[in-house]
Amino acid sequence: MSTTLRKGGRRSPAGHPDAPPRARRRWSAQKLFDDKLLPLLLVAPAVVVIAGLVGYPVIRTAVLSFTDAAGLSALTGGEINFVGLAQYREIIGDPILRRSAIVTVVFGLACVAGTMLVGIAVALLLNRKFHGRGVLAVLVLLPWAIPHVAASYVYKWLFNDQYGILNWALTQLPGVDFTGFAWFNRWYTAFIVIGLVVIWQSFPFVSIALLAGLQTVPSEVIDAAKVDGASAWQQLLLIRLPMLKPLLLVLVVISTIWNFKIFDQVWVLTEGGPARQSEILAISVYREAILQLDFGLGSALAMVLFTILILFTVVYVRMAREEQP
Amino acid sequence: MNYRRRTGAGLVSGAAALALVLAGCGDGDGGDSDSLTVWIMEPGNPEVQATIDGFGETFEEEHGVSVTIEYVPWPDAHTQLTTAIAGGQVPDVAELGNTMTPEFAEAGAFAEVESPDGAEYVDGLAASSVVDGVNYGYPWYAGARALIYRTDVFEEAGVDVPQSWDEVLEVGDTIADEVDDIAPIHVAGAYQHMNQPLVWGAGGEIAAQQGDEWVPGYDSPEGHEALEFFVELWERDWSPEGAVTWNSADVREAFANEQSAMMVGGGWDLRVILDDNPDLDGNVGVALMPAGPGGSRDVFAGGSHLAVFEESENQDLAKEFAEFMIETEQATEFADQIGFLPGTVEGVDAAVGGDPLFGVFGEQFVDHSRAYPVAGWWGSVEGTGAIPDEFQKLMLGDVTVPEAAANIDAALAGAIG
Repeated sequence: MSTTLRKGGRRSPAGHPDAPPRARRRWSAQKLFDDKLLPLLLVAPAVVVIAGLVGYPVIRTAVLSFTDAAGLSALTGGEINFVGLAQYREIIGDPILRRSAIVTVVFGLACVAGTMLVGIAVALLLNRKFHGRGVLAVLVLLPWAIPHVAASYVYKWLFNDQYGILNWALTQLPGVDFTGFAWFNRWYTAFIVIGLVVIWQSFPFVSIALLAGLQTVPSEVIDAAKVDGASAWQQLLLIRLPMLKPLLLVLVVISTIWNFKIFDQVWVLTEGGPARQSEILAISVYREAILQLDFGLGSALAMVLFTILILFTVVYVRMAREEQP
Repeated sequence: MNYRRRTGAGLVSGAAALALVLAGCGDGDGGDSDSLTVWIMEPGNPEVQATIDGFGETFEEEHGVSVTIEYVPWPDAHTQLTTAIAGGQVPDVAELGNTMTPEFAEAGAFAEVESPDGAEYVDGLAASSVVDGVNYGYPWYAGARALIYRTDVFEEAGVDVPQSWDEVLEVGDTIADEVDDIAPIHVAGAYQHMNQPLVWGAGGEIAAQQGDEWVPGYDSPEGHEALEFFVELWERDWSPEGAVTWNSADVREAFANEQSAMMVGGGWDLRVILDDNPDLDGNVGVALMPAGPGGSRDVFAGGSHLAVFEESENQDLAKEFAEFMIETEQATEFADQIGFLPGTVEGVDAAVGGDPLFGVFGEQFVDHSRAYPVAGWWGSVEGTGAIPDEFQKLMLGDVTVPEAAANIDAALAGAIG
């Protein structure tokens, strides 16, 4: 009965002069519970689980990053000392680790840009009606379904200096000789291959999500724009994409988180080499913490990666908020 | 009546439960002495795994105990051992790569072991389990790389097997001139077990123990000579560009594909080569590693130890199991299957005695192999990959020989601490 009353009260237009003020006051405690406490209570179990699963490891890693925990002795004997910012200073002072952090950001952003561009392009293509669209949509999804490691091995073979089909294909072009060209000898060519694998595997998600979004753009709006003489580019840049901006921002956040954290692809293709030239933070963390058992330094590197991701996410979320009226 | 019977039944079942609990306790203390947990590296081959399982069953029958063998993939081995030791959940016996033994032994994870009566170990392999004069491992199997070469190509070029580094270059030049479409030898930036021992050939050390101190050895005339020889081989343009990132498997593949006339490899490599390219059968020879200017032909003795954990409640039985595994009969059968050699001189003789091809690997292993620095810090050097990194930078032209030598020594000094 009370629910009906409240609901009824809510449904009445705001500021309706006939609304009984007594009823409003009478149910304010209930309203407070419904609006403030109930959501909190409902969310609480999830918050507890997330705090346990995410919060605890993050805090533990943060604490470890201020210690010199290293080697088996730290694990067995607990020989751990607080060293303040020493691990972070080491990251800044070590040319390889410093470079790894910068490369992670630059290469990560490049991958995000590539993923979004290819994703948008393919979504626009799939949004058109043409013969074989369904087949193409399935094909587009395939790279997403392949495990990272498997895909990376495939690319490793495609780009193999001796037996790779790519060098052979490029060499067939007139005036081009890619015989024995070693893609993984230098960081810049290695990153081209790694970037290709990453984008090839991450654009399908963006495409499919955007395709769904594009189909929600009302055709009247587009028709009206056409009547007003807007070119196809103008329709895209001034109407379709702006309307999908919130969705685009979410996709950028997700891509950023995925592409900044890549590990499998780099590990399979180059292991961060040659001579650690193609190392990114996820690889550095593995090298220091797991291979070297330097848990302090590894934790500090993980915190750097974590901080970078948080910073980017905050910026994106701000941008998304500004969009809302 | 009914009530009584029920009570009786209750008492009986209660007693049975109590007996079970007591028996369970007995199992916990005494029963452990009847069971062993063993970690073996995954051989990646069901037949080899069946052989190991068979050894376990034989031991079970002979000793009336139960043996559980768990297989650990090589890439996970270091992490898994670390977590096991940190968490106190160790097996009784574990196989581990011989370069890992000192690290875990220094951390106090392993029990001291003695060699079985009359067993003569191969020095190079046995040396890597002795830390501060105490032995922590049983040498199970290992291998040493030697020079694998193409007899037909050598014949066509009219050259003999090189006995020294200078002869490698001379023979190589002749092959390059006389024989088409084949490189004399390939170098590989990530093939550390081919590259690192060069310093021994030059008469130097990776790091030498002086008293309690370890002194890095690359930034020395011998170290420079080793690196210069490597650069010389690379700069002859015999190896493809991509060799910067090649490892031992890439070198082997190129040899199997008849792209090179010589390679540095072990018996296991030769097996794969002949399996992949049966046409090469009869055209392949094996020779001792050419001697460096220091006169040494030494290569790395790479293989596995069996170690008994200090925390095992069953050390005696665990030691018996390890000794059983390294007995000539078992070790020979197993080593033969995987192309490695047993860790005892008797085992090596039994495995390759008289074989003109594989016998050379035995000679190389017994007489001309040695261990990397036997110290806990070595694991961290391998973890950083600092030494292969400098070889790669040399190939890329990013560093000079003196710079590379200084960088390696700095990395070694950093790891030594």
